[in-house]
Amino acid sequence: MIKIKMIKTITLCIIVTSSVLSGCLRDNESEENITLNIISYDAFGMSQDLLNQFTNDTGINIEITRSGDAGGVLSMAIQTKGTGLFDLSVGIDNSYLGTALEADIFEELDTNREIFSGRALASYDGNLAIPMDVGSVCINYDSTYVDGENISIPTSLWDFTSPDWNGKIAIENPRTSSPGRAFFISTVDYFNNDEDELTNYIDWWSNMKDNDVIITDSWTTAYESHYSGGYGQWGDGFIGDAHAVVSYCHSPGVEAYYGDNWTTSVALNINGASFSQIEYISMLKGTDEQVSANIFVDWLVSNEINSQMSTINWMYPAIIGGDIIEDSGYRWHSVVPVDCEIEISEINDNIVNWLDEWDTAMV
Amino acid sequence: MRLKILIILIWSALVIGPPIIAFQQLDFIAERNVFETIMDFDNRFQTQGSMQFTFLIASYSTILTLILGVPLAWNLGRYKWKYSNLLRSIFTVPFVMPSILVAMGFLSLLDWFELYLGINDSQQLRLYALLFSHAWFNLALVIRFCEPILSTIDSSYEESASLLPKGNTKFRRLKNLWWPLLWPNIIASASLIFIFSFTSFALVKFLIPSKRNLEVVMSNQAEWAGVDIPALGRVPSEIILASSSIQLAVIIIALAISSKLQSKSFSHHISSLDDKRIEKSFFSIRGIYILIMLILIILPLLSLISSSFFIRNGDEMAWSTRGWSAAFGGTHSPTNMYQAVFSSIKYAIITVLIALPIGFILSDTINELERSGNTTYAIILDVIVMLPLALSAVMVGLGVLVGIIRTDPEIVRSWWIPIYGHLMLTTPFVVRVLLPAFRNLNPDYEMSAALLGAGHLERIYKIKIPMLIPSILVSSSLVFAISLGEFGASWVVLRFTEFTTLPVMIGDILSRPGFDPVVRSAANSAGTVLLLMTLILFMCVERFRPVGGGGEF
Repeated sequence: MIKIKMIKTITLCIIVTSSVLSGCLRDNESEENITLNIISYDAFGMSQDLLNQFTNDTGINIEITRSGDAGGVLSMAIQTKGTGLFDLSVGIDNSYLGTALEADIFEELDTNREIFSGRALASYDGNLAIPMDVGSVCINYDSTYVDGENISIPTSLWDFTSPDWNGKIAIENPRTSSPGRAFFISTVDYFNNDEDELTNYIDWWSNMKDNDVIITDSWTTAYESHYSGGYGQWGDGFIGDAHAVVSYCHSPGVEAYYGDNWTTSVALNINGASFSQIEYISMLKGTDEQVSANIFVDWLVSNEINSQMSTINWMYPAIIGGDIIEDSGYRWHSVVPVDCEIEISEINDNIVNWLDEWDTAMV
Repeated sequence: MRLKILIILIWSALVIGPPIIAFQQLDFIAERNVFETIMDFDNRFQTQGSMQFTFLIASYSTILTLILGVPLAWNLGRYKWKYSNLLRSIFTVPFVMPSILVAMGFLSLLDWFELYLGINDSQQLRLYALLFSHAWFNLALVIRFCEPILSTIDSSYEESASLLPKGNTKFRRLKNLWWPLLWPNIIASASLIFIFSFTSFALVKFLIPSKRNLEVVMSNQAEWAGVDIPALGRVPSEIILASSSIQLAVIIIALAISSKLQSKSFSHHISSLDDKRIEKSFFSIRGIYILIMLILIILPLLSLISSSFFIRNGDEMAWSTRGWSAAFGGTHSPTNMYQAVFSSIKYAIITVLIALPIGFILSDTINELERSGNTTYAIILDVIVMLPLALSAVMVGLGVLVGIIRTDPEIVRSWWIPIYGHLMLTTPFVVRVLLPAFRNLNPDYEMSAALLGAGHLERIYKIKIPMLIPSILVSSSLVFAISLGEFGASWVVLRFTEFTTLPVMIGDILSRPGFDPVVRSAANSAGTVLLLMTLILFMCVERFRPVGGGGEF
């Protein structure tokens, strides 16, 4: 009898606890504030403090869902097209923009385009995708290796096929990493426009494979685990077998910013061997929050916020006059290279074939 | 009875539904069939060598785990040590540790090796680290499967055997007494170790990033798999379809072997429920062995904890609590540690409240099927119960995404959606704990109660539940711990909601570039809190585990 009472008491407790907990977890349905649902890449650096500031000023709540990298954002945006699940996408870049435009997932924003720099509007100047920041992807190298081993600083991508760089450069897989894809596109354009007409990008990648290039699935693995000149050397799991890596041309600047103006990493400025990555914010079709979405985009590209992009999101501002900050050698260690020039329509038309050819070359 | 059947049917639909939806979607996009894709695996950069690597790592890990685990299970099972409950908790807690934490622990251990022993971090060393991390993770399986039998077999059996010609030497007793008793449990545990090593994701991804097993291959292709743009979705869909088919086939076979052997183990169980262990002191060869194993288990955990207190300062590492401040303040993550811990505990409690009754019903049904001679149906149901552990998170995630978003997008935002993932991953463990306990129940008690007029529900309340209380407590703690540390499924689904759990918070921090030195330290701090919560929970509940009666986990 006592046991039955005990069981009844336990059952009652379970029911009460579960009701209380479900109440704790349930969305506040009576909330009248507008909420903007944004899909972004994992590394989007907008802090909660800044978002709270936006909410306090406008009354619009922001909820961010992260979905891998730029490709992940686009993939999710396509899969949820027209559902209204997300109002805005953040981080689709110009290497994916052609696909996004073809998939017809965006709605026009009211943003004034005159505030943006020529670099930010270089790939696309319409209102379906608004540039929020820019940055070039190029090869970074560890100066202690180059200086210590008395190796010439590479002046052409072909230099990386020499024995000096055998097994010593880490490049991200263009199928699984956004910086890897950006750099891969730059190699296509670089070898199409160089003086040597007998070779193309596939010859270079084949030679790199023979020279034991390290291909990684993500930027994090390439930069943190393999690259000897980056912050990875201070963390767990550092291998340090690569003395060059594909990253951003301002990565050495960020290293210096956090390293008291000290870094051994240098961005390599080879004409046409870098890709100017432009990251966009776009309103997704199916949203009911057009007004709020426009307010958020205007806030993000306002001088007050966008000029801080070099510390908010580790990229250059997209607005005219915007630059990265000078503190602790951030700007001094950053390089603005002469990037490759390739149309987004050309990328969209050919990327599948290029990647298939790359697959074959790397086996 | 009807309710029972309904619950089993709903469970089966929840297990099988999402992968079927995903399979259909992938098949719709793919142009080549599974066999063509598999034959082409080594001719494609994305999949080259992955199949061989997966089988090799799973096989080596299984062998290494048995080499380390069987002697440990023997010494824990046959001898009674001071603080034996604490020892058992420490040796088995790795199994419920989130694999992302294990990877972080082993990576920081490699750094200590390099710093103090001068051993350079190399691909070869990392391969060994991966095998040891799998062994470290799965040691609990060997202990849980073998220790209950070893600890309850009367030493008089061994004494009697030693008087007989077939048992008068240690080798003969091993061959003629212990091996026939233990082999079903050893092979059953080996099957599960093989499965967990075969489907290992975070450990492979972080410890040996230059190699890919099938799980890593699928995760790399997940972005575009099933997306209805052939130019982008075709290749990823084909690769995931082929990889998951291989994985599913291998794992179903391993699960069936494990299930069959576990019921075989029950059939010749000659142990009692009394503690038959022999008192032993740590000041002995066996004691020293136990202490060495203890150190090996604790090292990666200590290493993780210590790395949360070190932070880069200029060009050197310095002691600092800035990582802890960042984790508690939420300055480098979408939520702070208090909120994440609160969310984790809430989800874990709700998961226990739902997984426990479902697991109870499933175990009861499998046991009844076995007792009534329907062994085949029992094995089928057992395999369905264990299937979620075999399914790739990609398949489940894609199924949920395609199935739910296309039906009603708003559901994805519901607070209860992540519980689906938690339930899928924890209910199999409830069954694994309760099923052996059900098998050990004497059916005469229930039959007598039925003769005296007790109904089905009354028999459950008055006979089964009171007799199974220790196992119910143990399974609850297991579910709670696994739910606390659950990462994969939550990572796929939970990111849609505002209720970030501790493992998702860690994943969020780790996915940011680590230029800021505080970032990695904050992740290690959050990992330390998760580790301590799991450890304390396990130690508190281990005292309720009956000697020999606690089941396989």
